Amino acid sequence: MSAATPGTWTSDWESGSLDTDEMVLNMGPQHPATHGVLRLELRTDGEIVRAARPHIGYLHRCFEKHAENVDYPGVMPYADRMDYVAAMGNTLGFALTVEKLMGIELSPYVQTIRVLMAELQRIASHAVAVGTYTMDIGAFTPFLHLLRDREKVLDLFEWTCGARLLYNYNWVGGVSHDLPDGFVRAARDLLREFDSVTHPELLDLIIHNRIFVKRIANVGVCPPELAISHDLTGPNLRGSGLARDLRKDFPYSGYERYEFEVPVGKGQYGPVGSCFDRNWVRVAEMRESSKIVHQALDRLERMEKTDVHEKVPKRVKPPKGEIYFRSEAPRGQLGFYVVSDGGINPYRVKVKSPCFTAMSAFHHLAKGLMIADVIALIGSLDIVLGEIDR
Amino acid sequence: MKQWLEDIWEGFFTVLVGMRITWRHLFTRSVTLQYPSVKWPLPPKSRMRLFMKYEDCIGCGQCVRACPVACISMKTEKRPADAPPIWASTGQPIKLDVTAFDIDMSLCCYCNLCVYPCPTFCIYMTPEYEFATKDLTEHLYRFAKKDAQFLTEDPKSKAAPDTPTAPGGSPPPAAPAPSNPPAGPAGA
Amino acid sequence: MDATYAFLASLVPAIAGWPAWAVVALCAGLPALVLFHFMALAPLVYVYGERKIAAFMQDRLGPMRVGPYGVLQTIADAVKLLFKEAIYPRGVDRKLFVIAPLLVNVGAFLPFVVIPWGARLQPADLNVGVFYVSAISAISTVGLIMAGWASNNKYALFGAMRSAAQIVSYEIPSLLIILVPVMIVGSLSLQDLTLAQAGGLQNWFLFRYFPIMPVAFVCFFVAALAETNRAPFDIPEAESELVAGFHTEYSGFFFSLFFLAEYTEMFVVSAVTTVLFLGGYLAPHPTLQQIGPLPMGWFWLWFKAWSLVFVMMWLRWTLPRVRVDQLMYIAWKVLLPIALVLVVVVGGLVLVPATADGFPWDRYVGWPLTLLVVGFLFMVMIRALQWNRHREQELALPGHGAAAVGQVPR
Repeated sequence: MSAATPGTWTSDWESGSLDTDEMVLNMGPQHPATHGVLRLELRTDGEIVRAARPHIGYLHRCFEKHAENVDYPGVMPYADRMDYVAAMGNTLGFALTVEKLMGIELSPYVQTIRVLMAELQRIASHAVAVGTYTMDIGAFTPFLHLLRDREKVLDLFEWTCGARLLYNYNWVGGVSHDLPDGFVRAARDLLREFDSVTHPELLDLIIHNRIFVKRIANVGVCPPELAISHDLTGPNLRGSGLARDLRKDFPYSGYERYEFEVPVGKGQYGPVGSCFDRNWVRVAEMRESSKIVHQALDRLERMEKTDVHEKVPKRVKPPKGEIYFRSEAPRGQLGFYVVSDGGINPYRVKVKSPCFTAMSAFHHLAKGLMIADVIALIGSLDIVLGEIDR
Repeated sequence: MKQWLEDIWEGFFTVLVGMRITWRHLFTRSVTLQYPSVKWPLPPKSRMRLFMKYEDCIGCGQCVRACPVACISMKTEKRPADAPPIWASTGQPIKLDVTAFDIDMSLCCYCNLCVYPCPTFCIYMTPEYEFATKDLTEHLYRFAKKDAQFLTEDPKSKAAPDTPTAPGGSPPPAAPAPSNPPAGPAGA
Repeated sequence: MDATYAFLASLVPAIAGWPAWAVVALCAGLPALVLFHFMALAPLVYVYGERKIAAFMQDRLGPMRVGPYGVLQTIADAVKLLFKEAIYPRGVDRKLFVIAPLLVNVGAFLPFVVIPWGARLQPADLNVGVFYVSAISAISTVGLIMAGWASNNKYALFGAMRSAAQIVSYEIPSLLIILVPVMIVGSLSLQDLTLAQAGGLQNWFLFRYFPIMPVAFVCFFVAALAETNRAPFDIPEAESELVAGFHTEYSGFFFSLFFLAEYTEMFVVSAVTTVLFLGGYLAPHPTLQQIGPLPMGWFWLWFKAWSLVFVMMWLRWTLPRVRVDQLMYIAWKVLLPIALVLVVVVGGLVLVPATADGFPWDRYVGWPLTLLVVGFLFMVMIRALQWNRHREQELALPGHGAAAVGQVPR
């Protein structure tokens, strides 16, 4: 089953086997539960889904083409807009890729700032993911509580660099703004409240709620072999029990110096790899990110400050060559493949988007589910169409 | 049977735990800001509306080149040889007449990339965000002024040797008309 | 009617001299009018209350613009819905399309006939009161199916079928549990059920045969919640589910009729629950039943029913939705066995003369339990308010209504 090859309509499906009992249901591009403009074509037999085909491309904005026509610093705003929910992760990935190509080494201070921002962004992104997921399942309140805390994270970002959602913060060679005075205290306040109030409340209110658990604990089970063969990464992979995290396996930007654990799905309420496990991994990762931020803040207080623009080249002109570098974005493994011809514009930028590969497993996960569970499945994969379509 | 009873008990109990949390939240203060009557003061670094001080622009075109969405367009002409020399407030001499400087805010992506290359710090983003208009063409800001008051005296030469000159953007102190012609750029 | 007459006569003695028809019109008509207005306009207040309660639970403010603190919001919404075009999609069965919301409303409003607001403040004291309520509420189901069918939309039909299946499934445990107080009293009349709980809080059926009746109360409440299509059982209305509910094709006035019916049914069901378990119009202590010349029965029924409505709203904003098959599981495999067991057990207890009036410790349960629950809620409230104040002091933030942590110092 291919996802969105041109000209695929229902007549493409093995029409001989289309029984008269089966019907084709369209969860259209506009649907409150698909987290973006995603069209799902479901072939259902009554209530059970027999086949599912996602159609993407409704949000294609030609990122990779644009990247060939602007210079390297100009690619950053475009990169932000791919996964708009977790913009810091995108720019971090691209900045690290080009820095590796150019051989730039950053000071520990800048690396700590980058880790700090990336982990705060991870908390904010998972807050959206978990919040919208619980809202799809029917509980409206945790979404607002989580967004309230996300707003505080966004306030910190706005204070540092001036923007709330699309920051253009990580630059090739550094970051755009230094941390303002009082940032450490404000960040600690935020985390204190998050760790002591919001996170436990989230667990009590919804995550361990019997109705929620019963709804998603046996749904969308992804066995580890399926996850690996379809290149699921990030929380989707860790939900199936495999502890693979690029921050631990191939650390970048100083992650090897931080102590944190990699949460995996343990199958507390059902088989390992269910929707509940993927969601659980995200909830636990918020806690782990908060630990990392605490450590980063401690380090920042003791570290000597360097100029954040110190290593930013006047003109970003990487030597001729190509490189593929991957980082752990909140949605999974985000990879940038940059080909440089020595000029000021990249020759080619190709992005490996984690949500795109997650959609490839969708058909296998959705087979046999009830229609109401399809919504539970989509939410648990945490897709953002901006990243899938670029 | 045991599973059944356990299910019922768990179901009942977790519901009560959740209810306690929402009851508690009934009495916590709401975080809503009632927008038009109460406005959140934005940090000064906020990247909202672009502003450009025309009197400081030296016409270098760095911002035009830096913009990834090509929302800035600029036309310059060489100043005629007999025109009086003018300076930006940071001390750079202005050798070009900027006849047109347009920023199309409807294209701007608020990335802040135009701000850094400017040598005179004349273009910057302000925290003003309430500039919605009914007509899209009103978002084309034309900054070139016909009656701009340029500095006709090198601001660096007026400063005493032991006082530092104020860095970019600040308006120059009011100065009397120079009695002797200015000596040219006082050095970088 | 005589109570109203006595009350009005004490205020305006001249009434005694009026002709008979005028006296009847005034003393019977006035309560009827009040009741009618109450039941027709109360949904406006419920909708506002629901939005405000939802907002406060979610740390936001809710409607604030239309009228002071948004009190006129529902009226604005109602006016908007009235002005909206009532769209008849192509192919709908016009007659059924229009009759369906009306039927649902009939099923929601008719039970008001038997709800006792006082000893004599009841439109009709039918001797099959409880049975009548259940039967009439079932008319709404017919209306629901009619709505789904007439919509000419297969998804609406699915939604209507599921909704009808839900209501019918939950009728059975609900009826069985209704039997429990009926067995204790020996009469189906709502008035008799209420009077059997006279004498104060400890006599309410909720605290008889402790702890059997509280279980019955909870089960009945859950069944009632499912009958009104209220969260967590609101699959038919769910916006984020793929299959739309039975009211998809309705717009404008008809849509508002469905919502009117839902909120009214919420109240009706809460009122029936209070009559069955919480003592109806009786005050917790007999001294509070009459304040001066004013009988307070209506206040107590109103207070208790609205508390239950509040609990329904509370549950809606706390719990996620239950899936359709799990809903059926709860009805048939959890509530029905419990209801059957309850009927058998309580029936047996009632027959045995030693426990015909309840267990010996029942007298000591009512007040402590109530005070415990009220105290607990109070404690949580005070703690929450303290936490707020503590938080604000700690951060020394100027309060302007948005005490967001991370409101960073400039």
